[in-house]
Amino acid sequence: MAERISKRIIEDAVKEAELILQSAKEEAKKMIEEQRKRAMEDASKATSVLIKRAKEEAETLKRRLLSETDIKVKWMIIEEKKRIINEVLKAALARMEEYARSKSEYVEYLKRTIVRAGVILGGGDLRILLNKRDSKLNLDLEELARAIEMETGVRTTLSISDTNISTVGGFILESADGKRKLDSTFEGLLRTRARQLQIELARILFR
Amino acid sequence: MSSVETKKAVLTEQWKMIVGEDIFNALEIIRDAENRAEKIIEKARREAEKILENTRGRLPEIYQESYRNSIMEAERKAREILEKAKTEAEKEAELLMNRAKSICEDLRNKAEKRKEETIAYVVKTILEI
Repeated sequence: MAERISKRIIEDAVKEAELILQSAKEEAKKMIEEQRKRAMEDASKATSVLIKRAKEEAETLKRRLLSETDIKVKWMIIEEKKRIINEVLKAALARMEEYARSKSEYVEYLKRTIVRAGVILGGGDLRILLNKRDSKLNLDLEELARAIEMETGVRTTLSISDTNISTVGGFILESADGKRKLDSTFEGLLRTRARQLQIELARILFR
Repeated sequence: MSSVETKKAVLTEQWKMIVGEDIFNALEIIRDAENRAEKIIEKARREAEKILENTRGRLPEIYQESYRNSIMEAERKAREILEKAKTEAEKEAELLMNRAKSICEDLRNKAEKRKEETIAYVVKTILEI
């Protein structure tokens, strides 16, 4: 009987000991959980700021990338238009070079434009600068000088310069003292009217 | 033998005579069990206290670790947000670039059709012929 009671007492004690340990473990677990929760709550302010800042940065990044692309796209289209226009101008210059080789018609063109240029410069002693090929053409300078004289009322002489210029066609007319000068080479004419031509070509090409 | 021990021995003998030896022995066994039970519970209490003490000691470290983990997690999320935004923007940018390429292609096609007309226009304008 006493052994049975003794056994029961020990069994109860073991059970109570287990309960004490179990309770301590649960308490420890609870303390850890609460501590973690407290840390997370304390960190939440900092994390909210981090996330908010990341969202703002993301928006800025997006806007910046798209804005850069938008500019890139606009430039791409502008560059393409410029490239096409330049291609046309280059082809036009080649066409003018062909025209410059069509002797009779071109000679008439030169005469007409030399007179016009001479009138613009106001006559006087004038010098014509041509490329090597054109300097061999028969331009009848006296007749051209007379035509300028008639228009300007100023005594005019015309001579071909010994210096050849590099051009596909056209000429440069300058006064003998070099103070007045008119570039009427095909390249010069294209350069002078480039801006106006670009606008007009864009209108025709891309309408 | 001290006087206390002598007195205890005398009382025990008297008690044994009153209750009889069997009951006395049985009570002794129970008392012994009670003592052992008390020791078991005491040991459990000490262990429980140790567990709680250890846990309390670890709390600052747990706090720091949890705080750090929260920040690291937020940083990861922030990186994800930025990465996602970048990917979306790049995708959109690619679409814009493709659209631009298509516009350029259209421009080339249009220009090709009007090239001759335009060249003639330039020659006519420059040479005035």
